[in-house]
Amino acid sequence: MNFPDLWQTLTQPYAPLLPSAQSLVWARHAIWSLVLAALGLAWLRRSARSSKLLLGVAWLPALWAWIPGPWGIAYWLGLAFQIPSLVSAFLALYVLVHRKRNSPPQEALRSKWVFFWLWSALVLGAVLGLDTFAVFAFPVYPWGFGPLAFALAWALALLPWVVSGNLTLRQPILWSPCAAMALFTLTGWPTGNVWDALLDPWLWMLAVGCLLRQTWRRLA
Amino acid sequence: MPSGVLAAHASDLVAMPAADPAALTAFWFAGDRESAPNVQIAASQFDRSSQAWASPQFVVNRHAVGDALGAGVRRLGNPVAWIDATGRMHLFVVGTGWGGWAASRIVHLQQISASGDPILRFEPRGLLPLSWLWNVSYLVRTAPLPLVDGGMVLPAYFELGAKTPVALRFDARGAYLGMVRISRRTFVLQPALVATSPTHWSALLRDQGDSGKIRVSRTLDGGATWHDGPDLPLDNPDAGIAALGVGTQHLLAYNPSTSTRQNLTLASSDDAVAWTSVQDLERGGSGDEYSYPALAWADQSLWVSYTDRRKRIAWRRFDWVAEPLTFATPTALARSTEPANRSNSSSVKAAQ
Repeated sequence: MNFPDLWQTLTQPYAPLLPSAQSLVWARHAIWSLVLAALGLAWLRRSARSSKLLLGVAWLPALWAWIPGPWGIAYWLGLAFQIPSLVSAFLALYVLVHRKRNSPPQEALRSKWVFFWLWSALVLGAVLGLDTFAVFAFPVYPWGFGPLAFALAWALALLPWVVSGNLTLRQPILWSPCAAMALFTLTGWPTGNVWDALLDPWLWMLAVGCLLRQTWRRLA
Repeated sequence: MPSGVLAAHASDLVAMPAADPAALTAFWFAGDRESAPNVQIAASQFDRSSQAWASPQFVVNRHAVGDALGAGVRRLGNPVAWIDATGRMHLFVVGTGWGGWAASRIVHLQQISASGDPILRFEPRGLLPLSWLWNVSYLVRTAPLPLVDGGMVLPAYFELGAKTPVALRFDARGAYLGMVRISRRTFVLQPALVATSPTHWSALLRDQGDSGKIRVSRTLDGGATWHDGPDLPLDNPDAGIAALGVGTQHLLAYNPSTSTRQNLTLASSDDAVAWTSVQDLERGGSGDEYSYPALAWADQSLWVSYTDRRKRIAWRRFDWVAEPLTFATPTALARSTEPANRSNSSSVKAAQ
């Protein structure tokens, strides 16, 4: 098989394994609840005061996300933004599990692998964003349903451990893609497309913000 | 029209199987106005025995769709129906998020009522995942191109800023297989597909550019790759069109003007390049609008439906003379990329 044939085989449309509408209803509740809980705690950390009342207020949106139908916030967030990526969900889970720790520590953010992931997110999001507006000759988003993108995503997710030979790398930003890929492999959430599992537009904006902040600090 | 409804738009016709009591099912959206909160998808079936349309019924409601999907749907529009190889009807409907039509997604529903049941019922199968940017802004409008493997190609388009047409591939049971972009132009939408051979297809496109003509893109490899072609010498006032292949003949319903939708015409062609007007469907006065046509072939007749001044859906039926089918020899491409005939016989001249 020559290279063009191989390339066509790897990138041609495959029948995507789309998750069922029923499973997505629960995924939407769970993932928005995690993300809202993490945002609530982040808001709480930023506020100088700390009390049980504020803690309760911070958790309210997460509980609200579990209410089904138009009374639940996940219903309306889903209307606008569908479902966050699985990486967003696992980063939110990390924030919740380590809620008493000040995170992320600055030394972790300066890790070369974190830097690598932030740049990867920036490039991937930029490509997918431009692809949305048909800037490229061929659509990139549908490749996310094929085996090439799936294999590439797994390889990138494991890259820090393979290249460094250091199995003790623990920054959440590094293991979140692995966990996301594992869950995506099992469930196909949120759309059956691997790009949606790895990165959503809000996470892309967060990555861009982190890179800009680091660049600003270096320049300062 | 369902009672109490003030506006209707964007009809679609689907031919029913021979064993079905209905020859045809028509879908459209109806409510107080386009994009009104109370807009629902309405349907009616043309009964073979009584030769009359059944009372219209609402079949898709945005609240029910939102409840089933677990996420809100702000507005509904543009139904497109298709019947899969098992005889089950699928309905693709535009459902908007925050931001109007440009924030649309395509909802895929499937029939859950039994074949022949006069009450049509559908359940959402899901949203078609078509873009990374919160899955906006894809819409459907025009009829699918059926394939010999029982699957089909569903024309769709992106319309947030850039207007780009795409072809969505489905298998014989209605599973989504993938997307191919139809044109590199970023100002064309609502592709209407016709096949001149198993592998040579044309997409006739509504123009939002400055030419005022129907644009064209063609594929020579069964939809794998598309190439923009020269415009048709047919006017287009940035309005929806409908195309249909019936045997060796191709039919096109369009507004023959660069600026208004007051006239609606039916044209035919042997090669999807040179078109001849065969029938005036409507000749309205200033301010009238006859638009968004749909075509179907059923019971040896050509059926046309269209929006009548945004208030109701009009329809017409033409009897056609059948002729033997003469498709080109299939190429070595996979069977799944060959278009199916929309009828068992071809036809030429129309006789009303």
